[in-house]
Amino acid sequence: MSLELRQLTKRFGAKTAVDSLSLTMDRPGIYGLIGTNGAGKTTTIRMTLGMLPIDEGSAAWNGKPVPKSGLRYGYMPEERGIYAKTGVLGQLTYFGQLRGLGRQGAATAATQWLERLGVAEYAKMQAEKLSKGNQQKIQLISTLLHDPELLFLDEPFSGLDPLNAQLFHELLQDLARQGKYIILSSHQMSTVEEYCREITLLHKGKTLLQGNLREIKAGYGHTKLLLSAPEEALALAGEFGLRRGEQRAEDTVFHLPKDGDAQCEAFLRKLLGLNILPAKFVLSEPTLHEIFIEKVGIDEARKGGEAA
Amino acid sequence: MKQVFQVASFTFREAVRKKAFIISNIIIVVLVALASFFLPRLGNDTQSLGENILGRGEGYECYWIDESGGLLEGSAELLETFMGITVVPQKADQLEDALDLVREDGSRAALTIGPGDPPQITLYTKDFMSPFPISSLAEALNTAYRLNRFEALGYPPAEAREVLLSVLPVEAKTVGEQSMGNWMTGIILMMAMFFMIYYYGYAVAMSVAMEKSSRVMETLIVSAKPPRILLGKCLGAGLLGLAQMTGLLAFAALCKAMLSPDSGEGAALLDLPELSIGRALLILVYFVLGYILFAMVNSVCGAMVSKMEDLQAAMMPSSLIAVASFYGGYLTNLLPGAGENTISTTALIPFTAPFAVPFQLLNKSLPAGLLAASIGSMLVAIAIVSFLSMRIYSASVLHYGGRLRWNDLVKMAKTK
Repeated sequence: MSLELRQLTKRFGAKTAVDSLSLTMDRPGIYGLIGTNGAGKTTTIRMTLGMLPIDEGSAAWNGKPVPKSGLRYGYMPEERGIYAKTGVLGQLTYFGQLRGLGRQGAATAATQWLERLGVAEYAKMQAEKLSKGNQQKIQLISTLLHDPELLFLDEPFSGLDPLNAQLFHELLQDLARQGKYIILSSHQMSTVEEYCREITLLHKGKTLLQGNLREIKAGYGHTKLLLSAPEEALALAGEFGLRRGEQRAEDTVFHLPKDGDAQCEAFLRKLLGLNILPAKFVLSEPTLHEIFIEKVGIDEARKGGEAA
Repeated sequence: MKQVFQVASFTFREAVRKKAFIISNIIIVVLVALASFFLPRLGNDTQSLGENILGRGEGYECYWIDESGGLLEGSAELLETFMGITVVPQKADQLEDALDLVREDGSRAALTIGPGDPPQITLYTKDFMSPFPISSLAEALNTAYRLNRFEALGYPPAEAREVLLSVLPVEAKTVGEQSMGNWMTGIILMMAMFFMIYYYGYAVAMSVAMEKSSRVMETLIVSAKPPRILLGKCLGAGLLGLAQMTGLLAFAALCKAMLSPDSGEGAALLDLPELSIGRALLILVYFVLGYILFAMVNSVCGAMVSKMEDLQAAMMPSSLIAVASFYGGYLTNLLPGAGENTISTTALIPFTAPFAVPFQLLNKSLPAGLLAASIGSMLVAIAIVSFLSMRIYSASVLHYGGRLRWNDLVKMAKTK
């Protein structure tokens, strides 16, 4: 099974929202579609699902257009859409029926999911009376009710408290282990970094970066040293070409020169020679956010965020 | 098709659960029961009031200024004796005071009889709604005048009086199909039709706009094609309207049987219509077609907006069409001057037909050709409006931001 987008393009008037995007997801897992607000993530999903007409290119699931009906896929939109005045179980049953389940089957599946996500006590309650996090759980359940193989989750973590975020995290990992294909769209790069094996980074509709996240990061090598040690030790870092950066609560960030692993090693030897044992000495690859900034520049990245 | 019924079923159940629906039905049921009980009795009260006024001289008062020099002698007595009107003689210079009293009360009138033969007679009443029996008064004055003329010509007064006061019994009968019950039912049906078509058409627009503004639409359209959602909504709301109308009519019939008296003028107002099954089915067809037509137009209005507060403005054109169509049908049916051409025209205009034709079906026979053409024009209009509505709905449900303009809709309608 595979999801394949080829040269996908969408224009709104003179603006190109998605420009010749191609990606392939050919094994189960979580694929990250990332970018600032307005990068074209939601438009990509909508075109893939046939909600928006494709101007150029194609989107296919197992070589065929993503079907409009049936049990094949689920979609959790960015804007949470549930009936405010309707009971939770009632609307989940309705959504399940629309996705091809029988009335009883939909109600049973909804009840099981409500129990699994710890919101069974709200089954009869009007959705508007639930907290934002619980509403989000209802939305996620409506996406999963019919046991889809392919999932599109558009900003699933926005607005979640840490406990619910952890719950979602475990659930997604579990779904990935079950062999689901999950496209996770987010502008929170740290989130994607945590979840996704492969990514496509979009900026203003263009593909900025694509591939296996670990390989992408490895390609950059170590760019930072995270050091926690006495001040006298920190002062020595400059001698090895390490540029002092941000002072954080638990450590100090040093930026490495290109291919700076050898300097770090020499620096560590020096510290040990002086009988200084650092509490923390971690060589780090760049974060996705840093890679993004490096690619588009800080000003452009900010503009992208503001444009949304 | 399964999804259409699922959406319809959900729409129906959700609407039935709403407090507004429950409360409005309770109010309507109470009103129907009260009307069934009081309307016929109010009619009887009016009748007995009239008898009291005429029989005992209560109620009406006429300020009488006679400058004719006895030309209408005896007319005042005639009015008091036979018509029960209290006559209050006044002098000519008291006219303004009398008119002030007339302005205060519709049961008062001032009468001036001028000099000359025949005399100039002027009757002042409060306004055109005044209940004062003008024609009865005119009849009494004419009788008195003729009586005096006969006497002047030498006829024996007793014989002249007997001849002039004799009355022929005239019984009025109608040969057309229109009965009081059918006429009243026609009016009630027209209003109920407008209420149902407008209210439930509006409900479709509300539902579409709510799903769009709350973003439920995004969840829905990945599960079902937009035209199926739209059809399901229209079907659900329409079935609810039909069920409500049927239920209320059945309840009204029950109230009529249990609460209304069997006879009397007022009771005739609530007579059940004399209607064949064929005509009843035709009326149902007009309700269904009218509802679909307006629901499809309204659904576009709902899809045009991203915020609920914009819906009222977006619905203005469709509301105007609905109100104008209703009055087109209403005036055609109730204005006495409306001829066959007017009836045919309103029957052939798809928007006015659902309001104009059911009343006609209740009260007269319409040519089969006209009915066929009328239903045909509605079907054609529904096909065109539905085609455009589904296209616009499909294209606009994911449009957020400002309200769509008409040229946007035209573009959407052209887009496949």
